[in-house]
Order: sequence, then C-alpha cells, then structure tokens
Amino acid sequence: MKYNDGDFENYLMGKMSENERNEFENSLISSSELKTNFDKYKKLTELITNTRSIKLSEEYSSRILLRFRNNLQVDKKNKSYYNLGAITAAFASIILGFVLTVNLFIKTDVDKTSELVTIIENDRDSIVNSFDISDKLISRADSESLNRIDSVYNDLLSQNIDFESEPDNFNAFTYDIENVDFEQFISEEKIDQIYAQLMEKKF
Amino acid sequence: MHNTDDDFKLIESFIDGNESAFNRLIYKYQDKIYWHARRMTGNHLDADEIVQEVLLVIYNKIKTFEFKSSFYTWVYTITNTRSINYLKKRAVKKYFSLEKAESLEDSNNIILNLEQKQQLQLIEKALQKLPVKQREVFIMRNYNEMSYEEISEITGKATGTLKANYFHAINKIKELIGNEI
Repeated sequence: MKYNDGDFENYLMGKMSENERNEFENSLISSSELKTNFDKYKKLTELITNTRSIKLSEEYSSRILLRFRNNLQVDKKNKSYYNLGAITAAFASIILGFVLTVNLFIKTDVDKTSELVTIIENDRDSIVNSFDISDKLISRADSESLNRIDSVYNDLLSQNIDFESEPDNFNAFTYDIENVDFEQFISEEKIDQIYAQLMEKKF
Repeated sequence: MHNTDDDFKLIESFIDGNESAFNRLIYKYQDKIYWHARRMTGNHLDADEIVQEVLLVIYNKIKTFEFKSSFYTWVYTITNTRSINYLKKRAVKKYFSLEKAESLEDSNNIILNLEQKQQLQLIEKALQKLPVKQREVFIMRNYNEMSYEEISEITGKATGTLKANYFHAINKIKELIGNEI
C-alpha cells in the first residue's frame, strides 16, 4: 500500500485503527523509502509545532506599540513640514511665474524708453545720411553757386525769423522755398548743367 | 479564535476618537503580524520594519474598513501584501548590492530559548528557499491554520492554484528539512 502525508498525519495523531497502525508499522520496517518519507514528514511537523508556539519577549512586544506611537508623531510632524514646504513651494512658483510673465510679456517703461531711443537713433541716422547727400551736392557745386547760397542764407538771417516760437513762419518759409524762382539765384546755364548731372545719375 | 464582534466594537470606538481602542486592537494582533512578516522575510529586522509599516497602514486606513470581512483577515491581507512588497524591494536592493549581508542577521534577542531559536533558524532558512507564492500558502496553512478559502480571500488566488502551490511547497520543504538544508 502506498502511504501519503494524510496517512502519516493520521498515524501521528492516533487516528488509525489498530489494524491500520500495525499494517503501517510493518510497512515502515520493510520499506526504507517509506521510512525516509515518514521521518521527513515527522521532522517537519515537529519543527512547525515547536516554532508555532514561540513567544516574543515581553520587552519587545511592549515596545511595538510604543515605537509606533513615536513614529506616528514623527510622521505627523513630517507631514506638517511637508505641507508647509508644499505651500512655500506653491507660493514661490506663483511669484516666479508672475515675475517671468511681467518680464516676458509686459513692456515696462524701461522697455518703452529703449524702443523710443532706437526709433530716434534710426531717425538720426537717416537725417545724417541725408546730410551726407547734401554735403556731396555742396562739394560738387562751384564757388559762384556757393556764394549765392550764402547770400540767400544771410538774407534769411537778417529777416530774424523766429522758427522756434512761431512754427508757422517756418511753414511759410518752406512754402516760399518750394515756390522760389531759382533763376534769380543761379544761371540758366548752371540749371541745365545740374539737370544734365541728375539725368546721368544712377539711383 | 478571533472575536469579530469585539474587534468591530473596538474599530468603531477608535473611529469615534478613542485612541486607546486602537491600542487594544493592535495589542491583540501585533504578534501575529510580526510572525507572518518574520516567516515571510526570514529575519527579525525586516519583520520589525514591516510591523511598523502595517500598523501605520491600519491606523490610516481603518476608516475605510467595511465590516464585511473579519478584522483579522483584513490585517492579514495588509501584512501579506506589505511583506511581499518588502521582499521585492529587498531583492532590488540585493541586486544592486545596496543591502549589507549582516543586516539579514538576527540582531535582536527577542527569542530567549536557544533550542527554539535554532529550530526557528532551520525553518526560516528552508522557507526562504521557497518561491514567495509557495511560501505564503505554506505559512498560512501551517502556522495560521487557514482554509484554502480564507487564503484565497487574502491572496486573491484561486483555491486550485493555492493547493498546487502548497503541494510543491510541502514536498520541497520536507526535502530541505530532511537533508538539514
């Protein structure tokens, strides 16, 4: 007959009948394999029974709850620190976000001034360039033409027109300049010469 | 064995704000938590850490307890899950050699009887050689005398699977103990 762990348990617990027990004991004597299996089972059950009943030391048992309560206090403290840290971090993030938004998307007075300076500089450059063109024209003019320009300029100065306080005078003057008869300042021959130069100029 | 009515009263009392009810509840189960963790991990230090973790989980989650199962089953489920998670973490640490070998030694004289200590070391050594799924069912069957249905409720595994795992576990552990490991 083949025996299993259930049979071993029944034998050890005294649950076998007398005939069954005798038969089992005879098999144990005759079969070394069964004997080995039974011994292993017996050793394991003894080991389990003995280790199941081990008691923890009173000292350790009593400290479990005590340590837990201490850990709980630390945990609560850490949580409050964590919450405080989270609030601080959130607040810092809001401030940082605000500063970045202001710097990146909203133009400050400094930015506006800087833009204005750039515009003024560009205008200045353009004016300087235009003066360069005037200088070139003047450098090409002969002494007679220059003398005439000087005399016109002196005449204007002698009239003492106050352009700064009375801008209308300036407008009137510019209007006059646009309608001025150049022939009274420059000879017809010179005008033809200037036209000829302009026609030849490559823009 | 586990008076469910008493447990339920203590839980309700704790939820109502009575902290000492929690202490009484834990005092009743702390040794069981320790021993399951110890048998699963095979050493005192890990078991001690798991006990503290489990108590913290119970304390924080007890309000979610639905009074459908026994408190013992609920506690055992938490303990078993925490133990398995701990073993996984330990395996990772061991793989990266972050855990010192001596930390696995029993550094605490919590068991005073020398013979019992030697027997415990023998069974712990054997248990550690079993796969976790076989180890848990072996411990629950032999040390907590649980039925396969109870183990199934705790582990979430089918009883057929548990029986197969137990069969492999008992045969392997018999060999290990028989040959003195």
